[in-house]
Amino acid sequence: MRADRDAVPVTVAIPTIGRLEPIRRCLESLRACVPSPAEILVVDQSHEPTLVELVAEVVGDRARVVPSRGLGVARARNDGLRAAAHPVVLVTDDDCTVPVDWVGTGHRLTAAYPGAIVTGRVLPVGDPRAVPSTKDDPVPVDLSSERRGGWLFGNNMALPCAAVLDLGGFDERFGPEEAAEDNEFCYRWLRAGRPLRYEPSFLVQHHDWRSPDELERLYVRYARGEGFFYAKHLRHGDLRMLRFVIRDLAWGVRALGSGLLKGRESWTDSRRGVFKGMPGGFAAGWRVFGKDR
Amino acid sequence: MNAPEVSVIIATRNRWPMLSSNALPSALGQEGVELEVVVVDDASDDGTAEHVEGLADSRVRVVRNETNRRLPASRNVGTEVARGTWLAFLDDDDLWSPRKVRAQIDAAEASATSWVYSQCVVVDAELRPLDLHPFPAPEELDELLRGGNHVPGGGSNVIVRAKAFDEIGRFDEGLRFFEDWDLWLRLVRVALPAACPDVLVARVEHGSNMLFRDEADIGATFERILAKHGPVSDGQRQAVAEWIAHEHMRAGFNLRAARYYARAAVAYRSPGNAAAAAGALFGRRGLSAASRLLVATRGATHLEEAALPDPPEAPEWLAAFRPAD
Repeated sequence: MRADRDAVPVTVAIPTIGRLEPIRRCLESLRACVPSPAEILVVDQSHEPTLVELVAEVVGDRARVVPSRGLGVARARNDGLRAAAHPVVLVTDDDCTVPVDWVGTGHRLTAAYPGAIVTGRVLPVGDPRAVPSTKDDPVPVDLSSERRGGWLFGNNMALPCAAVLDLGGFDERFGPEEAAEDNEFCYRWLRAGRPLRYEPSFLVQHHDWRSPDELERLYVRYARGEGFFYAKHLRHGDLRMLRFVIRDLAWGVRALGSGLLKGRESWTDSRRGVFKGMPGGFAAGWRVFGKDR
Repeated sequence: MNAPEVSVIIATRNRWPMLSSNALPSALGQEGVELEVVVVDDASDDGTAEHVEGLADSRVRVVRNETNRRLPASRNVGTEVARGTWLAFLDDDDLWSPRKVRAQIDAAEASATSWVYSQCVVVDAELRPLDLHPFPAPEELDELLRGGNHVPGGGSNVIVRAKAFDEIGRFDEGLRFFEDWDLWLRLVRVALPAACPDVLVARVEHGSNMLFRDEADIGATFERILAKHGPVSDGQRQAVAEWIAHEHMRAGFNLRAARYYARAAVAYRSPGNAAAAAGALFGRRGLSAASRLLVATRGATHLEEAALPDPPEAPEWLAAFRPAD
């Protein structure tokens, strides 16, 4: 008989803001995983009364709902890490589903690369233009020598829990409007010389559910988050941020030009949010992180 | 539930007719062995998963990928849910003798090894034999694999212990082609295989086989595979180029085979391949003539295997898969 097909000693943490149908779909995909995780945490910021019942119905007593008394996915992820019973935490989002080998692959990769964060593919389900934050590079990469954010996909991560919390976890000052907490943490992680790997065999599916208006608003939030991130580190004297600001502005100009020339609709290009989101995020970050000094 | 002796893993995408006429009857018709069949439906939209579930055979399980993950990842998904001590891979269009799994496991256990292959016949879509794959001895395989995927029949032939498969690190999902070749290269480092001399596998050759599509990517992929396993020499590159030409010849793509031989002749300054290119334009008999010319002028030929002019006899078990007239 094959090696242990039972539960492997990892925690799966899923932050949610109470989207019941997506979280059901996500949990159903997790229930099908072989091997299964020893623990599933649904980290809830919605306080939706029926969530506990739904979780119990789909995954039974392997899962519990962890209330998160704050706002923003950074806080929710940290709450999941703090509540985890196992040293490795696999994280996905409630609008994703995972294939049957996700838990086993995450467990195997974190055992093969102890101390490393592992991230991987995020494939779109539905209209790919309407699914943000996807990646489909087939080649594994050791990213440990990189010194920028953007490599870590918050909806598909295997995290060494203690090491992430030692570094301060995700910055909880990134609230619901500043969606770049994963990029900011990725930057701090890499700058601290910690290992990060991209492994294509570690894969989640990200579902299409947003309308064009919602996508446009999301891309503005992404850009606002980036501005917030750059302001934080610039305030702390990290001049590398200037390069990132210039790069993002150049992307924004190119996206705008390509939109005008090719008639691409703004909701199909995440970089179109740069001019609407980044200045406000930068100003807010400059204010918030000025208090650190 | 008791674990079966073998898990047969079939990855498929939108090919229910082939799956239902070739791979599934091959797997479910195995004699003298307890097995489970894991069908990994790689995001088909032709109802493959529903068809498989409709079989209502307790030995068959279906796992569905929500997105297209391609062959290596789909096979890995199958191994993840597999419960057998041994893993057998089967392409959805290939065929097995009913004795295959039992005979191969017995051979592997007799040799105390962790993987095993058998002889393989190449057939066309009407199941007429085209060629018998060369059948290397296990002790030659390490050397041969450095110059091509010389395990006959590829993924549909080998049976491997699940433990060994897990230890060497599964199929490389970053490869679009030859992921089986990459796996054999890793396996052969750990253990020499056993070999079953009977023809137990039929590989169905048709124009849509991966080797015959996406020509542009083939060179880059084989460079990547060989580089994973050590420095790549021009001798290896030439051997792989000749192997690819042989495979095209075997499948009846004479013009493309001639082109591959011609490229090898130019790239590696090998006159023998120029003769092969000229011969290949005239089919098997032309290549056979080129092979004889090389023997007469240089005392040796590298075309022996590809130049057999007459197709082999069909193994008896293949008759069961032919549609009744």
